[in-house]
Order: sequence, then structure tokens, then C-alpha cells
Amino acid sequence: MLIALMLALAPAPSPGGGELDRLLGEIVPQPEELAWQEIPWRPAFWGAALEADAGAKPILLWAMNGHPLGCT
Amino acid sequence: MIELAQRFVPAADEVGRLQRGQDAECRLFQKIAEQGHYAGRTQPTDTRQGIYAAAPSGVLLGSINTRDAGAVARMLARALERWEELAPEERRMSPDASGPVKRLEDRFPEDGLVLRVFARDLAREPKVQPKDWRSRAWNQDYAWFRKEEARAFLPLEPELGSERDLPPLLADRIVRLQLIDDVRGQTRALPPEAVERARITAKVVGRKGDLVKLELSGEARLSWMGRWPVDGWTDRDEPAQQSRGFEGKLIGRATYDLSAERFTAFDLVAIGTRWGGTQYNGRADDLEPAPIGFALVLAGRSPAERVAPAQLWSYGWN
Repeated sequence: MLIALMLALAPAPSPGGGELDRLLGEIVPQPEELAWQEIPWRPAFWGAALEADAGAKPILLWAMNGHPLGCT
Repeated sequence: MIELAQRFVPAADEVGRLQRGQDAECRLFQKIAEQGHYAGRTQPTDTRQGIYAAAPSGVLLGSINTRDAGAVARMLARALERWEELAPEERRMSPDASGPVKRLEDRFPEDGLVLRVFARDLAREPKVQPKDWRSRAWNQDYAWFRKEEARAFLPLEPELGSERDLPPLLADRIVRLQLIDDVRGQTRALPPEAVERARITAKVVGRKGDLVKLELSGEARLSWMGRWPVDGWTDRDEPAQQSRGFEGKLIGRATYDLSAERFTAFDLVAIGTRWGGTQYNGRADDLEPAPIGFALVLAGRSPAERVAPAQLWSYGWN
């Protein structure tokens, strides 16, 4: 009940007209927020391990609860 | 950091499957992790998340779990020194370490629609956001559609002015798996019973040969009540009654190429009000209704953009 009342009173943002580009600009990350993408992360550990073995390089693994390149 | 990373083969991956799975990929990770910073740990959780440097053989070169870039750089520099100390046979993967590996990404819809989904808090009045990383927080996910699912956005006969509501199963899937508050951290999908409204309508507003321009609109309301923790481990053992949900509107535009049978442009935004929290989404002090925005845009074709949606297991795909 409380939430329904607060929703009714809250000034909900309303889309319309040329709002789409403005909203995309607000929500989609800016380039500086995506700087981590400059590292060519492979999206799967196993592929990277095989590539490292073939290329005689060590592996750098960023492992998180939730895929770091997806939803963490 | 980028220069250091270039001396490795860099990979990012989800740790839960790696630390619990049984295939060759998981076994190699477990060998590495059980030499690392969380080796053997079971409390407060058994997670092995972090940053690891290792030889393909499974020899650990270094590991850490921190947001401190300087500490990571120091760990990587030490790891490279250790790598140089290893004999060639200590670096190589053992032939019997290999084997079949099954991943969610095997289901990537090559000829379908792949959207990158962003979630972010919208401006509040009065400005009550905390003065730390949370004021700029955002998160991302992916949404996958098979070819026939992507085509379902269009009217059957996509003539100028024609309209179509996305089939309820697809609209529900978008709403309850993507319009969920993961801005500050992972959250759980809402069950089908939480969907009170889920409508996404596509109207043909332009047609040039095989290119169909669509205007997208819609609305969503999700609401769920129950008893679950909202503060990490703090209230894990004594969860209180909670409510969570989202109510908002959707607007967007898209272009579909009938000859290529794929979208060439896609922008969909959902804005509205979220409330409540879940165990790991960082809202324990922010449970009251507040504005939030989601953007679903066409993903690129890079390998890093083939990551499976966090809620793929809820898609009902065979």
C-alpha cells in the first residue's frame, strides 16, 4: 500500500518526443567508463588457457561472481 | 596496466561455474585457485573471485582480490618475474588436462538479435545519492533472441503504419529478466508471477525497400513480495519481509533488414521507478522507490560481446 501511494506521488520520468537520445546519453556508459575494454579480454577462461599454452604466454584471469564482461 | 596485461593472455569469466564445475576448464581453474588468495576458504562465502596470473600448466604466478589498480599492477609484475623463473616444461599445459568443455556461450544466437543491456540510477530530487562509487554506478548484461524471436518484433506484414505487440512470452522475458535492479550488484530474476504488465509494441514508421523502421513503445510493472535477505551476509540468517519491483515505460526505435533477416539498429529504453533490494544488489540502505533507467542497444561483434545473459537459464530454451 505504502509503495503504491509513493509511486502515485513520485514524479515518474515520462518519455516522449526526442527524449530517446537524451535518455540513451544518460544511461549508456561514456567511453571513459568503458576504459577496461581497452584490454582485449577473452570472454572464456578455457580459450585463453589454450591460446596462452600455444603462444607460450601466461594467463591473466579476472574471475568474478557474475561474468566481469556481463553482469557482475 | 594495459602494457602489463599485454604480456599475458587476458581472460574474464564467471567464477561460480569455474569453481564448482567438473570439466577440463573448471579443473584447471580449481588447481590455480586453490593456490591463491582464497584457497580453502569457506566463510563468509566459498567464493574464489579475484584476479589470477597463472601458467597454462596451472602453476599460480600471483593472485589478489582488490579494486586497487596499483596493487594489481604490482601483483602482475611479480607474476611475470615468477613466469621467467619457470622452466618451459613447468609452463605448458599437461596433455591429459584437456577435454570437452561446455559453456552457455555455445548457445550464442549467431543469426539472431544480441542486445547489450545497461542499467543506471537516474537523477533524484533531492539529490540523495551517496558520495561514493554508488552515485555513478551502472551495470550491464546481455539479452539474446533467436532469429524467430527477433522477427517477432515485426508485424507479420510490415507495411507502413502496421503494429504488433511482442508475444507475451517474449515481452515477459524482457521485463522480468532485464528490467531488474542490478545497478549496484547482481540480483535475481523475478518469477513469471511477478509480471503485472508487460507490453512492447512495434509500429512500422518507415519502409525503404527491405529496410523496416520501427517505433517501439510499451509499459511494464513487476512486483514481488516475500522474505529474503537484502544486506549481504548481515541478514542472511534472519531475512525480513521484503518487496521489490519496477514500474515504467518503454520507448525505442529499430531497423530490420528483411533480406538479411536481422536488425541493423536497435535502441530501447525503459525508465521508471524501482523499489526494494536483494541479497547482493547493494540496496540495503536504498529500498524506497527511486528512478532507474535501462537501455537495450545492439551489441557489437567483438568476442567480449558474446557473453551469455546472466539469466539465460530462465529463457526456457531447449
